[in-house]
Amino acid sequence: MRKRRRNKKSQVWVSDYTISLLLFILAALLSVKIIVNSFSTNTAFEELKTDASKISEILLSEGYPSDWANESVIRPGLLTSNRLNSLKVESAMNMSYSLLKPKLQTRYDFLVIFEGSGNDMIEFDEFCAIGNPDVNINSTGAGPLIDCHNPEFTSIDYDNLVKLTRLVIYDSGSTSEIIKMVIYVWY
Amino acid sequence: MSIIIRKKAQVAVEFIFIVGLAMIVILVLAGVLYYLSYNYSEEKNINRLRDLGYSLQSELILASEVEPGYERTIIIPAKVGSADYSISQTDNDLVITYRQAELLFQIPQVNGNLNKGSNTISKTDANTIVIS
Repeated sequence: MRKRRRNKKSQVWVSDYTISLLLFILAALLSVKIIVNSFSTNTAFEELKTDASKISEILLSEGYPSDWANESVIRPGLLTSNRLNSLKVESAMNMSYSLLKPKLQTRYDFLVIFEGSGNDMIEFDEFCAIGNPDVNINSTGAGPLIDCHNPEFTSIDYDNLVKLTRLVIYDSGSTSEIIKMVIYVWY
Repeated sequence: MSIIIRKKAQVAVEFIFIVGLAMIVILVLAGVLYYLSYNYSEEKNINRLRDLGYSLQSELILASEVEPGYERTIIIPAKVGSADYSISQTDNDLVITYRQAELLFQIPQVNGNLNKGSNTISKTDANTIVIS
């Protein structure tokens, strides 16, 4: 009689209590996960959009000082007299990514490219893009004859990516054309 | 009689054991949650202060770009959210200090210092920005 009661109790312990404890832990873990997720993801995408817009505003200005060089730059705007200044673009493309990031007032990763008619990337001297060097940009040729192709974001890990396109006037040789400045921001 | 007493004692021990385990789980999760929320709130404070720094930097750049005669009054809050910070300047940098973190923002050459409270930024001539 005593043995039966003990066995019965032992079964109750194993089945009911263990399952209830596991359910309790599961519920607790789920609630923690929900709370933790609610911390970060809600505002981050909005911030991405705001930062993409802010980066475009800074780049489509003359910058400060207006004749900035890599050593003196506070705000790296790319325009001179409302037109894209290729020397400023080359300077920005040549600038260290870690230095450029705070000057564009963002904490997210970004990449800026320029596209002409037919969505062909426009090269500036030997450079293809402004921003994160981890993004793979296929190119053929070298130096001033480089031919850049669209960036491949498969080379990086990201949760969200925002693409923003702005139009800008670019003097190429004797003619002026409207080209696209494409900004990618991600985290 | 003695069997009944032992049975009660076993149930109580099991109950205490289960409640104890549950309490340990709750305490561990609460600790993790507190740690995460503390980190999150610190990161949020730093981001808010960074935004404040960028705003002040933009104000001073704007002042240096416009024509003489420009004047604008801005108010720098004593606290940003729950963050109590300090603000100082070097020649070309605005420094916002929060606990161990120092946030640097490059600014144009200005006369005067930005302080918490009301600040008037004025441009008296082509090259002079005065903060009062």
